[in-house]
Amino acid sequence: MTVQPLLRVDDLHTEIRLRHGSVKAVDGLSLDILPGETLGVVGESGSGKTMLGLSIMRLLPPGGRITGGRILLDDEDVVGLPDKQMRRVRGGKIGYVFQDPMTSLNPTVPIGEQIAESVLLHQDVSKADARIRALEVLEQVGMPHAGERMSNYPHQLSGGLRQRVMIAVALAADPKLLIADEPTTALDVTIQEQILQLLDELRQSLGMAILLITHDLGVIASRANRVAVMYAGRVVEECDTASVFGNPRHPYTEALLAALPESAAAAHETLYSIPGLPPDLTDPPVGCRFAPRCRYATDECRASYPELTAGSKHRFACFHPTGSAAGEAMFTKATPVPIELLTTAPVQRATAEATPPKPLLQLSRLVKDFDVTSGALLQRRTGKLSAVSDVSFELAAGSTFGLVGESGCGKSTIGRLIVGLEHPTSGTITIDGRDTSRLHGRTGRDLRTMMQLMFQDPYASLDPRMTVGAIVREPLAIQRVGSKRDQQQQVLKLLDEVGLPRTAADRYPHEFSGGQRQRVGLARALAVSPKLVVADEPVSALDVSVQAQVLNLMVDLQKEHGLSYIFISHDLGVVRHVSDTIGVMYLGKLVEVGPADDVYRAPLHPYTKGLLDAIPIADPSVEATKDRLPIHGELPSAIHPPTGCRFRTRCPLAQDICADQEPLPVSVSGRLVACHFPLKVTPGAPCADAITESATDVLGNKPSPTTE
Amino acid sequence: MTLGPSRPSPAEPEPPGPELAGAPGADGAHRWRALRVFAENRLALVSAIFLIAVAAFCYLGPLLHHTDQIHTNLGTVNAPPGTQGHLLGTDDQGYDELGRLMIGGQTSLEVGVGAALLATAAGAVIGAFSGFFGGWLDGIVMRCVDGLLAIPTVFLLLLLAAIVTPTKLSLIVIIALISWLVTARLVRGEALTLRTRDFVSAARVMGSSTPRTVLRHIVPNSLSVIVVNATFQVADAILVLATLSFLGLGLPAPQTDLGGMLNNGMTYVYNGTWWVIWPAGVLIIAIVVAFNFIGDGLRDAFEVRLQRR
Amino acid sequence: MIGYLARRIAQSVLVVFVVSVVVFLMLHRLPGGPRSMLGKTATPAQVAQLTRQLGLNKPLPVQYGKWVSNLLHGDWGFSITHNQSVTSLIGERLPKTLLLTTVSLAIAVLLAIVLGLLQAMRRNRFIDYLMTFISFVFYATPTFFLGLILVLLLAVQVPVFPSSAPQSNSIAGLVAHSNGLVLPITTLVLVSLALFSRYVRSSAIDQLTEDYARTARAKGASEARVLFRHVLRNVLIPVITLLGLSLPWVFSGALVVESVFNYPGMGLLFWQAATAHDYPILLSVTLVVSVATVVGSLLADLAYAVLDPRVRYS
Repeated sequence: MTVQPLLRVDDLHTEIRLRHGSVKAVDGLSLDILPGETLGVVGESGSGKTMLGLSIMRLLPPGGRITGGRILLDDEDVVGLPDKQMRRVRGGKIGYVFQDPMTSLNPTVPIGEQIAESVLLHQDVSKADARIRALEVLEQVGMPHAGERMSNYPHQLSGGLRQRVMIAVALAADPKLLIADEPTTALDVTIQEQILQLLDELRQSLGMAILLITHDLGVIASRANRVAVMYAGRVVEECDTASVFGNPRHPYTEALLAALPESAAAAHETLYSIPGLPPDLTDPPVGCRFAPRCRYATDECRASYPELTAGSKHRFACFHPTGSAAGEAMFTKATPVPIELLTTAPVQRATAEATPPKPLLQLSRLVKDFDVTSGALLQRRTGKLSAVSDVSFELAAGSTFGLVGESGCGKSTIGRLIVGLEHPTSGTITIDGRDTSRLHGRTGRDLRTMMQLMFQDPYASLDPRMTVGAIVREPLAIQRVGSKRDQQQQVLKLLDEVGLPRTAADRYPHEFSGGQRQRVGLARALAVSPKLVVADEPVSALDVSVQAQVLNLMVDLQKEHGLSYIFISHDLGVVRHVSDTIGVMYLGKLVEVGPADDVYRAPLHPYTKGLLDAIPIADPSVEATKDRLPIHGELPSAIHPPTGCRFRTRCPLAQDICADQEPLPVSVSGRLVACHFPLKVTPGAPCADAITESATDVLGNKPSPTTE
Repeated sequence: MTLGPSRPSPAEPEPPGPELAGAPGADGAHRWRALRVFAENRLALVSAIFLIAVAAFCYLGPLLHHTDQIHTNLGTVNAPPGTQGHLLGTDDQGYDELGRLMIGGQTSLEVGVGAALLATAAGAVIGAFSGFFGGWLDGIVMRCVDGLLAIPTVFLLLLLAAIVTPTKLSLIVIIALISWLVTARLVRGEALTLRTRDFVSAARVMGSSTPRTVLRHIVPNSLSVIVVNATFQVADAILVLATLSFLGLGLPAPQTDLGGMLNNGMTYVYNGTWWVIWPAGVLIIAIVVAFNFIGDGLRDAFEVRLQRR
Repeated sequence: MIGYLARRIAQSVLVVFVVSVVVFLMLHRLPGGPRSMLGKTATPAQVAQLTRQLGLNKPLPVQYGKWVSNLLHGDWGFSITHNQSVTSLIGERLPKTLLLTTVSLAIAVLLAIVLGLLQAMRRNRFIDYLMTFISFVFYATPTFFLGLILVLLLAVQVPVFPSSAPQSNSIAGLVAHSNGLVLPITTLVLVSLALFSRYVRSSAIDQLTEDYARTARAKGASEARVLFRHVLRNVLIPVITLLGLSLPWVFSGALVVESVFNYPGMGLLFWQAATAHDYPILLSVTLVVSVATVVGSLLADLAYAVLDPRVRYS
């Protein structure tokens, strides 16, 4: 390599001391960052990627320390640097962008001051000059009305703007390297797209290098020049982005890519899932850390650790690299057999499309407003927050309806309405022909058992003080199904079904990993043999490899029990994989409904299109050729939603009519779309080629007077 | 004196190490984890052992060291330690100081523990109820609690004590009547947050009734807060009792508590009769400090158990 | 912000109402009832006059209304033992108690901030453990005992300060003899120190592990700068709330301290009234002290609202 690396990490070892033992979070890691490039470091939680970033800054959490190796910044080893000099590196030479912009900014200091502090600490300037520089940087990161914003406090800004401030703080002192640790994980996809775009532009205009740390293969694929894949504290593969995604050599990289829902050849097909869990780093295995989960592993792998191949451009640490011709064939042809699954056969898609089955669930003109109150004695209603506005759809028995949208779009509220945790302001929810608003007494209890809820956070949804057995048995106990003995038998059966050992019954939730807890949640939901399971972001807290396990399990159980799912997620890729029908929500409105693949391939609503464009795909070739319809700006308030079409404030196609008339859902080629200017059904068609006739003309419907 | 405000939580966070996925192969040992963490806190462990020793001293001591704590003996007044038969001397009424420490300690422990238990039980029930139901009921209960908390403890105590003649039982009730407020506020806060937790929603989706939800989910999950608070309540109740004795509203002679002995002894502060002051003073401080350390230790133990999920 | 203020003020009014009801009901629970306000030597004519004046033969709510209206008209009753109207007694004593409590609180909070931050910086070192231990011991010492120890040490053994408070009738007189205020104030400071310093310590430790503190370090700020420029502000804002909440506790402490040092404040007045069964004083003082508490915590909350931008701009 002719270019001198800006930063060279050489055989880095970082340990975190715990109450008992210590975690070898980074264990013999080496990599280079070249000037002006974006190096993506990708890994699942616990892989040590964040500890790598914090080690470089020497900002490890209490108990953490660097136990070996060198970190060379411009040929200077920062590991042994005295504190005073280290402070010149922090912020001055390396800027750091943290994950959560809400907690990472000081809530009691105006943002201008926080940015100016970076300047003051590294440049010999007056306070006034530092402020001028702060304003300049704030403008540079695309803060609208930067001058007025200088005196704002972080809580007065939205998530996306806060992250811009965070970037400005990191950039203010002109660092040569920017470490961005999950910079967009806390943000919605459309905002994520804006932030990633900004980072890219800044890198080019300022000529700095970026170390982009993320768990999201899609983010890496779209933005990194080179990629380092981390597993259990080490780099297992490193090369330019196209090679890593196109020709992965390490089985872990290969498996990770295969586990993505987008990788499945067809929806509902069993995803490749990596069996087992990452190793315990307090006592890592001697050999290759991935060996226990690797399908190519041999005794050699278990006995010694393969070093990164030296010299060549494409480096990987494996004795049996894949990606050779043979490996490639194996990867694409043979459907990998996940060890934990009961079956590998693809699920039958909604059976017999000729005779449309009677809908199991019907939502009709569902509205949910939350009161916004103020006042001390009497809680006066001062406004309403329109969480769900006039939503109707049906769900056929045995099928899956995927509900997608960004945070705050009302998708979770719909889930809570269906299972009866909230009561609709107006409209009806009918299940099996019965209105759930009359959920009382005996019939109420019967109806309740037909619908169960699966939660997003596997940590919060299980009572920490109950054993897993008691948790799974709880619905049976509440519904008084059978004797206690029968119930216990049933619990064991359920644990078998979700692939948990029977011994799990006596253990407490905190002893399990996220994926295992989600299995417990599923077992609990299935205990009373429901017909419908509302799954609210069931996999978004899980790592990709574990996510695939849970998705597969859900699909299998659906087939076995004839379950219907409402699958709520912000992740279109996941939703498309499991769903028959997709509904896209925006600010309380259902803007588009249609068959999963159709919606995914050829979105009709500009918002759907924008959402799809914003989702980074783990395939650099796709990312490079994306024809984007960018969504600008941020989500408006649901207390005062925009008149007419609620999306118009961010829509690139919006015209006057969009503000005046609310678009009604109309049927376009077998799908429903609520837009005055739906897109053409040809995939990849230029955006401007929108169907120009107003939808009202097409169907002869009169738009209802706007309700706002 | 009881603490007006709920105590600040020290919340010493665990080092935020990397998330370690993976189910440890625990085999029931987890049940002992909280106990183990508690035992690792040496200060708390020493305090617990000390309190057991104090209880043994107060309740078993009189079996070995027989003294008359009912009839005054004006023949040997303020006798110094070492006087025959009086290891720690005698006080101004001729009571044996060592024997008096035992019965005074009994009173202090009984009133302290009794008041704390009563206050905690009442406060926990009212707080959990108020927090779980929320709305106007919660509003009314909490305004009443605020109102009672606004009247400084000692003022309220003096008023109450003026109404009732002091006996062990009435003192327990009076102190509890004032101490439940803090517990109620604390448990209510806990119930408010627990109410919105996913596992409570899950129970509601299953059709769990309100009493069942409160009983099975809210109470067990607030238990750590309740237990820790109860420990602090004992310490505070012992101090309140001492303060009452100082203000002349304690138990009538020949009964006494540590605070009463201390107050009594202080009359002779200029006479150099240190033995009527210091043993009672040191004992009361040590007991209260020990309960506080145990409370701190318990809080850490519970928090760790919850954090290591 | 405005909404927050309105809510807090309305809440305070409600709390004062609750306090007045409690006090009123206690009046009727006291041995002998309100009639005993006249003392043991009251003539039947006096009793009849009081009965008429307070409407004791009317239903309770009417009596309550009458009582409140008397209070609002400045008729707080007459103290037989002091041969003085309750209003003039309180007017004389209240400023003195406020002087004692505010000075002690101010010193205690300032000391607590310094000690708490020091402990947070030296977390889990010897000095931290030592100070934790000492603050716990002070907290566990009965206030009257602590006062006495101080007298023994600093007034008897080494006679630096007088053992009792100056008996002046005016604030100026008290301040002029400030020497005599040292021991009462020190006692009150020491017992309340633990409450605040423990809070500052744990809060500072929490805040030092917050993400924003890490951001400041990542900018290149030194540990001292992180503590003083970033963490301190976030630690101090909640201390104000704690200050408001601790007022009843401080007043309680003041009562004991006043009794120990014979300091002519509300607490001493109250205690003497309790022993003499001087009900008009007992009830009025309780009410005044409670209202002072409520106003104090309201002020604390207002200060909080002004200082915390998250409340100020919402």
